[in-house]
Amino acid sequence: MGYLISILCIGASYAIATLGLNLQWGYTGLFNIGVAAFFAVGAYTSAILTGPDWGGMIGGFGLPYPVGLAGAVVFAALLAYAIAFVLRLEFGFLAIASIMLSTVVILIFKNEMWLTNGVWGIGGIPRPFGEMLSPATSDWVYTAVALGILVGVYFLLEKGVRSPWGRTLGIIKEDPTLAEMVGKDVYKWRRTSWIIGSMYMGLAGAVYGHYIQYINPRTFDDVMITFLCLCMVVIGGSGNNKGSILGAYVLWGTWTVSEILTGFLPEAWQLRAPFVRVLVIGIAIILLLRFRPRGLIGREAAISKMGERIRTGRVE
Amino acid sequence: MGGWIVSGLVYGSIVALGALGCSYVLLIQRYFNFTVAPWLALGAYFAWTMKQILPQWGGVELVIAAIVSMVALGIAMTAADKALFKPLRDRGAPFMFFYLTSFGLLFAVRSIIWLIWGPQPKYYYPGASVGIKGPWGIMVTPAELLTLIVAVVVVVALYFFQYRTKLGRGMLATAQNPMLASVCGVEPETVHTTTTMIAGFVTALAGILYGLTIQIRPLMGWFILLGIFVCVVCGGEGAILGTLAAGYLVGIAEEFGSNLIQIPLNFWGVPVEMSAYKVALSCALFLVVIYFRPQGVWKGTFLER
Repeated sequence: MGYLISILCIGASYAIATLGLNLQWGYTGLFNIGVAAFFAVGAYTSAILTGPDWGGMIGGFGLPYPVGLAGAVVFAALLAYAIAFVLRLEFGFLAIASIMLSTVVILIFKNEMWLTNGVWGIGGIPRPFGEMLSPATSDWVYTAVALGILVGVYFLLEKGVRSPWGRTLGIIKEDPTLAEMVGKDVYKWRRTSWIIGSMYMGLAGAVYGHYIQYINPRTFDDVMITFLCLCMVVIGGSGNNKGSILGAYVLWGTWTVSEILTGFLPEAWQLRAPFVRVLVIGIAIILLLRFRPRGLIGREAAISKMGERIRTGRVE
Repeated sequence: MGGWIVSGLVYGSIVALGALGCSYVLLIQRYFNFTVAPWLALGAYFAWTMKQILPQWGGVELVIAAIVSMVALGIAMTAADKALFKPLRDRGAPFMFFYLTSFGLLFAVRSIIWLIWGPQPKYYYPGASVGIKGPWGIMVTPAELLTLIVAVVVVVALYFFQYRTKLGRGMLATAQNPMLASVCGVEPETVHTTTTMIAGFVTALAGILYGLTIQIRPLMGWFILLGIFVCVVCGGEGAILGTLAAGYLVGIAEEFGSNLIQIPLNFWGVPVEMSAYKVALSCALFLVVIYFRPQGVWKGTFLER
């Protein structure tokens, strides 16, 4: 039962981050490999804003849960805005800038004791209604809250990408020159999409932190957050929000189940299991890109004439 | 002071060698190769294993091990390119696919290294080596001196290969206009194979020198990767001398800059330990460079090549 809650709840937070990445990557064509930075900033912001006084470090605000979420979203957006000027340049620079951002952010969280308690991490992050419920009930209530947030942001994003706003992003992904010719300021559109996607990642971090209740810089290493989120987008099919959620749950479910299964192995094999798991997922993503670039569901036929070609698999 | 600059130059030489491999791939195949991080570690581990097999011959065994490892890594990178990236090129897949494939390969190769050699750090020659004292507080170990010399020799050799041989010029032509180059009789596949082979050579060399001056560990490439990217962007893609100069710039920014900034921080009593933020300094350098000169620092000025 505990595993089911863990899959549902952490899967929900991964799904929110994947939705944000899907907006950036699937709909706008921005390659973000610094998901861990926004995720960590969200988790830490929310933990510090809502947490009790730990002593020796910043904290003791004790604000309600929604304020923590809002703070996480705002700080993730500020962080995204700080490096948004990179979007003016060609594709690869954003990838490098975002991977640098994630490295530096994790470095700061690791070293600044007054802010994050360093490698010892922050514990005792409160949950909504956490004090008045027993731990088991609190798990279920929090799962409901997380799933509710997931459904809410999913419909918000669906509404967005089906509006003229979303279609413009589609044009910018397919053909930036064309978008510029019809009078769209490509940089501003990309920046909006970049910041909104990052807000989703910050929100996901906050949801994650309140479920786990203990976070440290090692929680947010690149394998666990950035790589998994990218794989989730690819598995579900980039440019499809349902696919993102499906991909998140499929991959996270597989990950957790394989963790349970390796628990039965002898100890020498258990130490190797995490590396085997990463190896398998790495090979799987390469093969997927090679043989089925559309992912499980694939992208929807959004732009009328492209529809036929997408369905027959000539456009990726 | 002098010591900081020398350690910066040593680190910069290693970064520049790693960046040359990345730069060649960017020039010919048009994507930033993230996989250079684990490839670098793999080259160092190949050489370590080879050196364990060979008997002690007073340093000669390391040279042999290095050459074997360079060739092996060249073959490995070429095979990966042919198996994974060539189909994407043939299909005309979007750029993202190249980036994502190299990102997936990064994690695959990294976990292979972990599975085979384990997480403990390894050394070619265990134990501290004696440094040679120079003026102005300079202190270099033989390994560091070797690194400085090897980097310059490799860069000069590559420079002559690039601008004085037919194949090298063919590579430049392919980089500028693949269609026209293939019409003029440059085999595209030969160029791609040469590119990945050279990239393998210099990447393995960078890994071995890193292992020789510091240590060999599975994540060694990851720590140096950001410096490599800064170096590629600063140097301008495929500009060989520019890449070496940019490597020195990155090394000095990290080693000299972190120590220099520490002095006023200590003076004002700001509780920040700059040595933990060396990578942040090269990231700041990256942001400054791409804000003001996204085409590279030296491109189009006094070091066009």
